[in-house]
Amino acid sequence: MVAFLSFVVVVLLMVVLVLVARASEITSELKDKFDYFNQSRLNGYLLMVFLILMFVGSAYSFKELMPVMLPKAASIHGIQTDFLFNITMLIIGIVFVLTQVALFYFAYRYNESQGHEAYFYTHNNTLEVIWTVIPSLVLTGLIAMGMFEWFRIFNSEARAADKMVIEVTGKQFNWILRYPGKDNNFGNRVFDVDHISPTNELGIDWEDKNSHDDFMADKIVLVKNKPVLMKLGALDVLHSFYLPHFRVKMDCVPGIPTEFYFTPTMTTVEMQQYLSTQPWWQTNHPETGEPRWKSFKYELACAELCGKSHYGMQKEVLVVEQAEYDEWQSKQVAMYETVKSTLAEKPGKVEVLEASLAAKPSLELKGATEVGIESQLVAFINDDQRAVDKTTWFSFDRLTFETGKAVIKAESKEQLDNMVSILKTYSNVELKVGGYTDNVGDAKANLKLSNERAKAVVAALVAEGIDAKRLVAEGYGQDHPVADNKTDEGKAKSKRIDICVTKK
Amino acid sequence: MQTATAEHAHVATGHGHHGHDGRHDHHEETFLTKYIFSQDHKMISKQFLITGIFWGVVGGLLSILFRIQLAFPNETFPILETFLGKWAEGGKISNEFYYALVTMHGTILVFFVLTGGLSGTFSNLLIPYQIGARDMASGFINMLSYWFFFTASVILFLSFFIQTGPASGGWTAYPPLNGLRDTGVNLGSGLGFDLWALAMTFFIVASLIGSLNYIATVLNQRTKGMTMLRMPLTIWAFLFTAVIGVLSFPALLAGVVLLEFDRLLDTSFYLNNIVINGQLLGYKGGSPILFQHLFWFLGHPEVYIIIIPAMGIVSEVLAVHSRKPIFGYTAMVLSILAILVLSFIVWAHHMFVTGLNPNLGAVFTLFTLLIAIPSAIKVFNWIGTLWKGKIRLSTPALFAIGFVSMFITGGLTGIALGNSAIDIQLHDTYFVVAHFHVVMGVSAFFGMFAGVYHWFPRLYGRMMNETLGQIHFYATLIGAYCIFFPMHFMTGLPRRYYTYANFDTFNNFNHLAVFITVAAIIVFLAQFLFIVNFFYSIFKGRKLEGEYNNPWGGTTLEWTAPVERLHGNWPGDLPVVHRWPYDYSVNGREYIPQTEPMKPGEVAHG
Repeated sequence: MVAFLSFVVVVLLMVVLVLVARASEITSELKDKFDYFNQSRLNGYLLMVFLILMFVGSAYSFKELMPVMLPKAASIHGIQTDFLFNITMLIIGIVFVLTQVALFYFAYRYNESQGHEAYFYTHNNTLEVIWTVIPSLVLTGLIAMGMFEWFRIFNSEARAADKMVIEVTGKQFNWILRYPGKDNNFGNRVFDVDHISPTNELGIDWEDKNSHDDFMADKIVLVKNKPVLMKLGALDVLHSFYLPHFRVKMDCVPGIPTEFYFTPTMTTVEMQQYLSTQPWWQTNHPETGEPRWKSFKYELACAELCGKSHYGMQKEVLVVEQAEYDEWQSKQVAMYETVKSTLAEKPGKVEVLEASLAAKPSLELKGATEVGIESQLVAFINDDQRAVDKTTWFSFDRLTFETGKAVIKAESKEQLDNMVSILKTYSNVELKVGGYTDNVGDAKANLKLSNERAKAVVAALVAEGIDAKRLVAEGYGQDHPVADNKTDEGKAKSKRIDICVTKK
Repeated sequence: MQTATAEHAHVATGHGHHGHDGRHDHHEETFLTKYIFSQDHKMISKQFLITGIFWGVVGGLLSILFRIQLAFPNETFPILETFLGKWAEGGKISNEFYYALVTMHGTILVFFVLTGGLSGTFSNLLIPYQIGARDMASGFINMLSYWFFFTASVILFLSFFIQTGPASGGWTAYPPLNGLRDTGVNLGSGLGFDLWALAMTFFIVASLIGSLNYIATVLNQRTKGMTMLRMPLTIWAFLFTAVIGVLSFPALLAGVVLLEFDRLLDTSFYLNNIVINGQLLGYKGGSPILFQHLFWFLGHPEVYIIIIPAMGIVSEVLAVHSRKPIFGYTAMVLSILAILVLSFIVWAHHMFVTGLNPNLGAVFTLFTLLIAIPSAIKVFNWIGTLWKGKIRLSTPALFAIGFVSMFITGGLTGIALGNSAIDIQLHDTYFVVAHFHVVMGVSAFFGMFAGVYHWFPRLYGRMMNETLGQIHFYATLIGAYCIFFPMHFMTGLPRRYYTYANFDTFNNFNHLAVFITVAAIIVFLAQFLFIVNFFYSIFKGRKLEGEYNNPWGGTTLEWTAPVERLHGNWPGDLPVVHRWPYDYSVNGREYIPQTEPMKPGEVAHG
């Protein structure tokens, strides 16, 4: 309603404007000519008003928005690039004011209502040289400063020997963080089908002893004043490793390694203490109700569009003192410890393949019977002799709905969970879900209900993390009974949800 | 200005009857050949303009939709579901559709409005008129150019209505996100992207044959006396724009074709070691970065393809309405030439943080910041043109002044972004969004509006409504600054985020997002003042009186042609040019048309 009313108001407003404008045009037509002369006078004043408004608005923006911007840089190079940014903004701010004043003031001062003649003046080479040389000199200075800093950031020869190294790999829609462990060396990664699997997305070579103390973590932990080399990569699409507080950004590219080397200068706690002195950070956070500085944390974000959940790739970054880091690291469990049981005595290639198969999360199907849909489906998928076709359907046997509605009853959860496990294990499999009813009632309503029920099943699977693209729902109504609709038992059999494998 | 009619009298005299030129015979024109498959540059110009206006509304509307999501990430608007269906289930734009919106907004505005609509309209209208030609070098190819553009438009528009929705991997189409067709990495990377690529292919063909035609026309069809240095700056601008287009668009075509090979034929131009859901795909040896080089080899010159025509229009409009020659004509021509050359060697400044070799980054920083010099020269010359003028602050002049203001504001921030060390932090943040929207989005629109208001009488023989035009100007100027100025403070805020709720760091600007969205809606609505004015004035605008009419008192040749738009432009012989186009307020005259011979003792300028 509000939307409609605002729409009406806007339309009316525009109609009024058009009419007013039309009226002024008619008046000017009566006077035989549009009154440009007086209009120029008015516009001269209006442009001056605009100029003033623009500066007032700019000043107000600075006052209101500067405190909300990112706090000071927390890395050595970030302090330098911020300085460079501020210098640049200062210079362009001056140029902005001078040129805008000249532009709007001249437009006002020399508009036709001022009663003067135009001055025929075609060019002035001296002026052209002046306003070519001055910008060139200023730009040369900026370029020189920028390049000096740029080469310092990327000078790979000046890196500390005792730097930390962390490997960050982007994927849809998460970051995989790998630490090299005590030996400060990563295990090799191998990009082939023998190594890469759902349980080993990075393709880590477990035969490389260096991999045995590597560990994963769910946050980036850095040490104050200790340089860190971020080794960056991506599995699927482009991502960009962005640490706003450290002024660090570098793309993560599938198939091409990139890196960024920097030194954090403030621990998280020190940054909080610094912010506790800043007025805006003393105001209360709307969610926690506490001063904002208390909940401050460094964060990692993705800065390259990577798909529909690009905006969700968040990880916390923690900067601590060395002792605290050592303690944290000592608590981390090496990846190898968690996977070695599945790898143990299988060195050969065939064995490795088998291992990767075995490494698939073993199917734990609760309450499944031999004749149940789960067993039938798994058997079908595993049997290479049976091709995907449109006539092979399996019926859910422990899935029930509330009468006449497309609401799945809670008792169906076990079987649905089993389906989710199957779909997660066999990640290539795609399904069509069909809904059917008996012949009681209106055929159209039955069709609708069967359709809604099929959709409800798909929605339930999607809610558990199955990609919606792997599932199709369709209602078939009462047209395909599997038993005699004359008996109640037959009707109950006909009311069902079936699935058909469309890809395996 | 009342003398306009009289001054043109001599043009028409002494030519006898029509018909030295074969194309000038009055053959029967059907509705189809006059309005649809027209080979007349003026009609094609109108076709480009009106198609551009259509796309402008669509592209603007898309931005309003995603601005609503950004301002009110937690609210629902049932009306959205009514119109968008599954894309806004529950009255909230889905994340997948959000990315389709930003992708299509970029594509539409950059290519279909500000390239097709701007350069297409004014190159077509002004090149033959201002150089004194009957039409383009090839009217037929010119017609084809529009119809390729139209086909591209239809394909792109249709992609909104397919099951999986339009392309949603960004207007820059980076692989692998846009390079994997059937893996489910992105909904819009299915058929939607194929249609995007097809539309772009048609668009590139349209642009290429159009540009070749513009170049051929400017170089070969100039009337007697129209030396290169007597051409108005508009023509220089269109010529250089066409040259940039011809040299850079093929790179994008190659890039997109190879991308489709990867998508459809499983080649590996851009793909290497892709792992999806723990499965290693079979791509080996490609580089996603290669696509970025190809894309930006067009992509950066593209922003000059957009802005240079606007610069040309503004130079002309400022001179005419200041009643004063453009300041530093030669410097203006040379500075566009410098921009043309430099525009080809700055593309990798879009790629400073892709892992580019730092040496390469340094070189691109150097050239990028160098381009500020010719830009600065142009700004100073525009301001110099206003100085001591006798400025008529009509709607076209206001938009031209607005252009200069926007170009200054947006151009200056480029100096920060072009410096690679600073760009590490600013890359892909709202600071970039602010920069390029102001410098090439809003500025180019201002140039386009200045051109439409200024040459509307040439297009339709009627004036647009001044009052409405001026309201449109102030609403757009103030509104555009309200939208984009605050974005300069969002120096850490990543762009292309559906919501910032997952981050503590980025939640500081929520109130500002509402302000920006409200401003955007107002600016969007204000554009309907223009659209109403435009279509109303086509039929009901104040008519130009007399057979010849030069409403702004311009010196250039388009005003020496009759008000009625003849096929062939001039009824008799073509006009002959005797002087440069900027003789305003000289020798005691308000202006001297280019067709007027030099008097003894008069000094030639330019």
